[in-house]
Amino acid sequence: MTYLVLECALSYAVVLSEDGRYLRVPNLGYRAGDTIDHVHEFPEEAQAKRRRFALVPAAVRAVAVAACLCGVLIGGAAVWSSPFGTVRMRINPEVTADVNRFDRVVSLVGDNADGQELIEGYWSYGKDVRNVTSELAERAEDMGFLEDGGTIEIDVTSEHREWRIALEDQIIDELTIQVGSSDTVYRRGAAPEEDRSEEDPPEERVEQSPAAAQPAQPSAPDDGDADEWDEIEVPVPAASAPTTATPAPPVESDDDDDGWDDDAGDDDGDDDADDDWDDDDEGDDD
Amino acid sequence: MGIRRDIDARVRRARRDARKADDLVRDYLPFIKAETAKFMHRPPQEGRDDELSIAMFAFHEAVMTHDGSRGAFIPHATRVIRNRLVDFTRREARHAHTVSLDQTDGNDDERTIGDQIGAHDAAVENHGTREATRQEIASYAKALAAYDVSFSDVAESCPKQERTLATCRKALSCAREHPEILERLEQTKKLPIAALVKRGGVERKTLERHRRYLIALLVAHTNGFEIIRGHLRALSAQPERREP
Repeated sequence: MTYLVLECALSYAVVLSEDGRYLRVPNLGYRAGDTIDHVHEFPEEAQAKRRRFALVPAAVRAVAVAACLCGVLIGGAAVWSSPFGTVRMRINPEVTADVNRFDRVVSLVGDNADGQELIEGYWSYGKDVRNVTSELAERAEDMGFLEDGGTIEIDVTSEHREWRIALEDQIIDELTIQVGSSDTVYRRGAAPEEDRSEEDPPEERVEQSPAAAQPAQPSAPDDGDADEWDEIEVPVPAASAPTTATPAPPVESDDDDDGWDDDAGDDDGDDDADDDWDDDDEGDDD
Repeated sequence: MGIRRDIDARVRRARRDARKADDLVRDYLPFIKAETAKFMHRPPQEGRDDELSIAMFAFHEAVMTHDGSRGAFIPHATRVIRNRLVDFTRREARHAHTVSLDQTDGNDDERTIGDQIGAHDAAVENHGTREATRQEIASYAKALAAYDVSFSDVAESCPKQERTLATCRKALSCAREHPEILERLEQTKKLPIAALVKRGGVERKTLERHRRYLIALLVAHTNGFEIIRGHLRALSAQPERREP
């Protein structure tokens, strides 16, 4: 390509190219009428900026892009796989699932032999934890671990309180809808009433009642017999007290079965009354 | 502050006027030399170092493109000069092993390589041709002045995109096929856009946007500019490209 120099100034020259383009180029000592083979043709400044970036070697750009991509992938994988909380599910099989911040299960282990059997062959990685608990409950039913009247205990632990409460509520709500009225779903530490009544001995239930601590109303453990003393003269407020999961104030109790209160010599009216009733009970039994 | 206002006002006046911008380059030559010396790490020699010419062109470009609302002129000019010098150095690095005919052969008699291979003699022989070319270019500039168009204006108006260039070539072909269009141009001193649109099938907007460029092309194809037309033989030889 040749260029015909049409005009020369101090800082520029106007040249005409063979293909009919009029260009303003740096004047490198040209004179009007010269025919030159090469001119320094600069793009406009905005285009030049883009081209300067394009001058970075393609290999360097590729490595930079690959490094950025790797960084994003590694960071994303770290965020994905780091547990945000733990969901424990106890039917009889016990399983523990680590959950990430996106409510996805990143690991699932059986805490006992039944739990390991329950999750054997079950793929949970990446699934929503609500779906996993639902599917595990279904598997437990199919495998005979969860029968009518059974219970499912859910316990969510996390440093993030709001997330923990919300997830726990959602899991319990969904499982409750799924199992219907045949089974019971509850959060750990809030066992249903009938279960607690089966597990707790009657003595504890009586002593958990706040009313039992009143000296004016001596409380006596129900000895189980049907004598008139228990039914007529001894009011047992604990029998009508609601059984709740709220922890009772610590009360010293006589757990042994010897029929005697071990601290019978103290000045506590309640214990003294117990002693009296125990004596009488012994007489009755005799 | 006063100096800054003064230069900003001068830049505003010189903007869009290549000649005034060139005058500003002449006035600010010490500044341009200083910026070039910073880049070259030595004082540039006028007439020998291409870097100084590039820096002057960059300053001229900075004057023509400066937007006063985006900051002071001098920092803008400094940046443009540096960018252009970087671009120039990178391009020259690609041709580092190219030998110029104007270089001396290394002996003491200062004969250039061109002298030795006879290129200089050929240039002397072409001196007459160059003088004729210069006269024709002067006539061409005078003819364009009748249309109130300068070479700088034509360079400003010249299409950058190949597709637009093809459209303008199509308009030129149309004018050459219909000499009455060229006659009308000479008589009225106005570009016959309607006729070119009708007969050439080119877009009116393209013709209006590149009006001065088209005038220059058409004037070059009127009588009396054989050397310039001869230079544009590549343009005449190019087949018409169909627009996508």
